[in-house]
Amino acid sequence: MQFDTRSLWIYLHFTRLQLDVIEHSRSASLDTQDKARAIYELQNNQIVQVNQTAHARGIKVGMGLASASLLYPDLRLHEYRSEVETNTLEHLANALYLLSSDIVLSPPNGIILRAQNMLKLYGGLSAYWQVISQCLAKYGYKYSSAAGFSIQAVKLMAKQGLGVITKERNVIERHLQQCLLKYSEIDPKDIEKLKRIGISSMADLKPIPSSELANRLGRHSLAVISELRGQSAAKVSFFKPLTQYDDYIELLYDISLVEKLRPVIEHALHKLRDFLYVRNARCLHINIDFYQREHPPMNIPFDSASPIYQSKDWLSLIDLKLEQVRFQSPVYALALHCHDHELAELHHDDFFASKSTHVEAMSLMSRLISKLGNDKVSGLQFVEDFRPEHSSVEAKYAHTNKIKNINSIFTDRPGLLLKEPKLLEQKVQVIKGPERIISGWWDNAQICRDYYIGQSKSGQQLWMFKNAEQKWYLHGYFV
Amino acid sequence: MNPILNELENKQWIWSAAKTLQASSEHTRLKTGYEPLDSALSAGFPNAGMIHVSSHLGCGELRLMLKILQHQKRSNGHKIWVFITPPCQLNAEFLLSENISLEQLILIHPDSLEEALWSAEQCAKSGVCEAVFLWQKSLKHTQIRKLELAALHGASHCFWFDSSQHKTANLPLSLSLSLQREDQQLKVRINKQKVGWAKAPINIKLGFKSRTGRAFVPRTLHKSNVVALRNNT
Repeated sequence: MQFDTRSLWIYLHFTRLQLDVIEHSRSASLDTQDKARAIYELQNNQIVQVNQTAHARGIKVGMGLASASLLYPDLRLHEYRSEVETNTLEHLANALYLLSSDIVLSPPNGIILRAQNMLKLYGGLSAYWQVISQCLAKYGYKYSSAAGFSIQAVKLMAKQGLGVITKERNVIERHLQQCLLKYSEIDPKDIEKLKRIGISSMADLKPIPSSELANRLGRHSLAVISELRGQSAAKVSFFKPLTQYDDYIELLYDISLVEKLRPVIEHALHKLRDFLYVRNARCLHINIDFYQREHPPMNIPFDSASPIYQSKDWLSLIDLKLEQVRFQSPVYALALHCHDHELAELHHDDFFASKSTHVEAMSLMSRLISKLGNDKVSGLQFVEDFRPEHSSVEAKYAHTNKIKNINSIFTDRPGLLLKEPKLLEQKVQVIKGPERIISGWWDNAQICRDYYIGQSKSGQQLWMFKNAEQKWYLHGYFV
Repeated sequence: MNPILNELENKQWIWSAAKTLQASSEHTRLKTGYEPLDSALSAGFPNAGMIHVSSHLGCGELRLMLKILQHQKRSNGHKIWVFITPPCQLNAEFLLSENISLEQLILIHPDSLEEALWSAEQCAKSGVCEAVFLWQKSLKHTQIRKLELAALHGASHCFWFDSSQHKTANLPLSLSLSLQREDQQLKVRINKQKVGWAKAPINIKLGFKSRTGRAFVPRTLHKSNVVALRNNT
């Protein structure tokens, strides 16, 4: 979408995102704090992010690996991975989306907010910025910010750290003029060309008309410069929040014991809860992939009989299922997926009504199913068939499906039926009968039986029948 | 009190007669609907707990228990009935005729005794189950104690059907019954109850809903098909 040059944009530049992500995930263990740590990019052989301690040791961004390790041999290095930063950006954008409508992601480490249309809602830029910065403070990632009227300009100011949050055009202009072109998105070759003719900052660039630049610079660079000058507007596409939830957590060290994995799962579930909570949603099914060091990932689905979102509810189900799980090799990462969620229903029942029993019943079902498995817990269904062995069907338990007005028309049916009628082997006194059942000619399971109720010497009341060949069979017990 | 006695009472191995009266007041017992049985059981079944029923398979043990449970409507009728390891397939038609809605029924077929006991305990404890029916040959002291506590906690009944017929020693049950059918009567022997002495066996009539016992009498034909409408004029 293209915007005019009058909208106000805010750029958030996360200067050391991957490092922050790593340090925040480790903050629990005290011993790893205050260690010098740096992120190293393999392709360019340079340090790209350093923390405070490393900085104090003289390690700077842009250094090579050799000089960095010479300066401080104890430096902890992590390889730069842009997908970590991109994922974190998406996560941040999801959180910011609740506060600001138009968000543009600028991977790997930038977020652009369109502030113009939010000013009226929040009653001014300062109020809006306060809300945004509070939200960012929760995460504790280091960032620099800038406000301005073109995306290229705010990017440039934020990257150089010269940004201010204001909507005064002359203040922004003054700051922009101090910026150096090397931080902008102009083609590096063109920056070099400009440098040779003595243009290195925005102030130098200002007096030169665009037509003169057009002869020397490439098309991309020209577009950037025209945006920087506020002559044209950028084309951007806005971030849309996800409808599915996918989370990937890399563990700090390999874990083979299920109990040790529990806090990590709990952490992942907290994140899922936050995701569902702001959407007023519940889910019935989640999947967790356990990435094993020497074996293919183990995917374990978890089901709940009633839609839930609370992490403690999920955790109790997961605990039961994980009791039976043994990993083949240590787990180094896990991923949590929740692809379907539904809106939470509003209940308008009485406080004292029986609804709590229903909820409790569903949670009991979830507990049973997650421990025993789906096939060992079932319900019973009545099929209107005259053949006794066809009238009861074990089926999936369905508490919600109302089975209406089904009533047996026969009295005195046995409580327990044998799966297969077996030959009667004891002496029995007939106390009721016969009741003739001839049915089933339509599906090759025809029966033609005379049923009797009998009582054995030991007091057992039996349901038995005589078939057409005058053979006696036992078919059930009147328990 | 003597510390040894105190300890025994805590373990519920002894009970004092003063508590019997309290426990057997009408509100805390579940009336069975059979006068003699009520009086022998000090006003009825316990309101919750584990009940052991020892009998041959098929002498009406489940029917009697369902009848007693449904004699007094205690809950709003939304509670769940749980059947664990029935010896053969449950018959839906029978349950419907006993006024048990099939929506409120859970059938569990566990693989092992541990799983069966675990699910029985979970169901009994949950507070949403009317009753848990468990068919098992023999259970250990601790297993029974666990189920008894779970049933008391969830205010439900846990029935243990046992057809092995061997004598149960002093097990921590709320009630232990032996059933023996004699023709139409069902002889109920109380082996153990928590708040009272064992009493003499009681006979209960538990018949079929339709009339029985007359089926095989061949109908003797009347001499004449013509029957006078009115004998006296």
